[in-house]
Amino acid sequence: MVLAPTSETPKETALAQASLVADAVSCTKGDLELVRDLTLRLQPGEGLILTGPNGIGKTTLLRALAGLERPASGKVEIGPTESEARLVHFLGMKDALKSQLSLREHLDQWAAILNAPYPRNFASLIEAVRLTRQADLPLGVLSSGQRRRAAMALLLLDTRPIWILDEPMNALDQTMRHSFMTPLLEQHLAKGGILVAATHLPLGLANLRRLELSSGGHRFMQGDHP
Amino acid sequence: MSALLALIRRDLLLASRVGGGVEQALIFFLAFVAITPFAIGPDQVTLGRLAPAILWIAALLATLFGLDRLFQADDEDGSLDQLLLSGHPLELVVLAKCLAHWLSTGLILSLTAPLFGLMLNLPLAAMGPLVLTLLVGTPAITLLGAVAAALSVSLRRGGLLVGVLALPLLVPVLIFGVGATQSAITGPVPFGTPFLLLIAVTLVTLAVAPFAAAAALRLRS
Repeated sequence: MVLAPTSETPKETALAQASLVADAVSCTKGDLELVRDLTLRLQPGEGLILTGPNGIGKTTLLRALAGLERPASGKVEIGPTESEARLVHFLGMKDALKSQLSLREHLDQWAAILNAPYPRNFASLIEAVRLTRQADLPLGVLSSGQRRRAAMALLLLDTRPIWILDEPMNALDQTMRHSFMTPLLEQHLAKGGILVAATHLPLGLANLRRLELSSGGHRFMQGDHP
Repeated sequence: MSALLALIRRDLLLASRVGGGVEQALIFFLAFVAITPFAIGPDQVTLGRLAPAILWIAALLATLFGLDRLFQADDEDGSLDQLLLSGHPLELVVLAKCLAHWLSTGLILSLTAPLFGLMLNLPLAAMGPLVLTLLVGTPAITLLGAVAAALSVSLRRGGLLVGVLALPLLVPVLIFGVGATQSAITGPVPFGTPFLLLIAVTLVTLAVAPFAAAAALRLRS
């Protein structure tokens, strides 16, 4: 595990204390059993990627881990349980971007809803997702790669220790994968965050654990996507 | 509290950008009111007597119209997931969305209703009661419609279902709303009796509907 920086703020302390535990979790879609008896425990600074063929249950499992859906059996515990702060970011294919708003307006709305303290014009945040020139365009006109980056801005707006991402590399070009997404995820882990990502593309990170789902069951391995 | 205001502000901004909400409800209201005299005939006395009922039905349908999108739009683009993760109670989110919806439809319809009343020869004495009953009754329509909208959120063609689910529950609102307006014209019941019952219906709805809608949203899959 990576130690938090010495000049830690209260938020970063919370980052380094979070944990994600799944205890004998099974997920189903209708009558179809997708994941059976999965037990895992993630500590600060740990990353886990989910691999497996389409329709094997990666997204369903991610939603269960995020607490958005109740697993068919078993339980997911997100800690510290006594914490009142928001702990989980979930970003899937549905990116919560309204096509008629601009990125700046989108961030302004969510900053108000989440009560996240941030400089009013969000310049540094927009710069961080490399959309300075597109900041005032309606989100509907952005390309899918740009939308993906725009969606990631929400994760930077509100600091939460657990990131659960569905195909974070999708739609990003080679350069953006290497120079944008990989460093972003790296920083999150370095700060003591927890990462769970379903992916068909390598994330470019060291020290990952991998959970491979297949029709025969699941198994844990070491390392990034092959 | 600030989150509640932020949610209302967001929905109003989105409604104004889409250009749907306000104009659609008003145009529906206008179309309904404009077309009924052709069906009923030009007899002004008959029209005036039926006016409260016509205006109330028009307001009811105009408010329900498009209400199926209340949660569906946010469900489809993932905003609902983000709201669930925001840590705000879902009941509060529902309430905020209902308030925003009422501000952009029910409130506007109530305030413009006298204009439409003129088109139907509604007696002047009934203008005030009409506005009052609509102001009190339309929130109940939005709230009960929201429960139906939450139940049908994952159905792509939920529009009809919202009507079918909500209309039976809305019958008391219609009865007391029209009754109060009518009693201001013809009596014999004083305006206050049905009006107080209408207020009661709205208050009960306000207390129950956010919980029912939130429960329905949690069950969606």
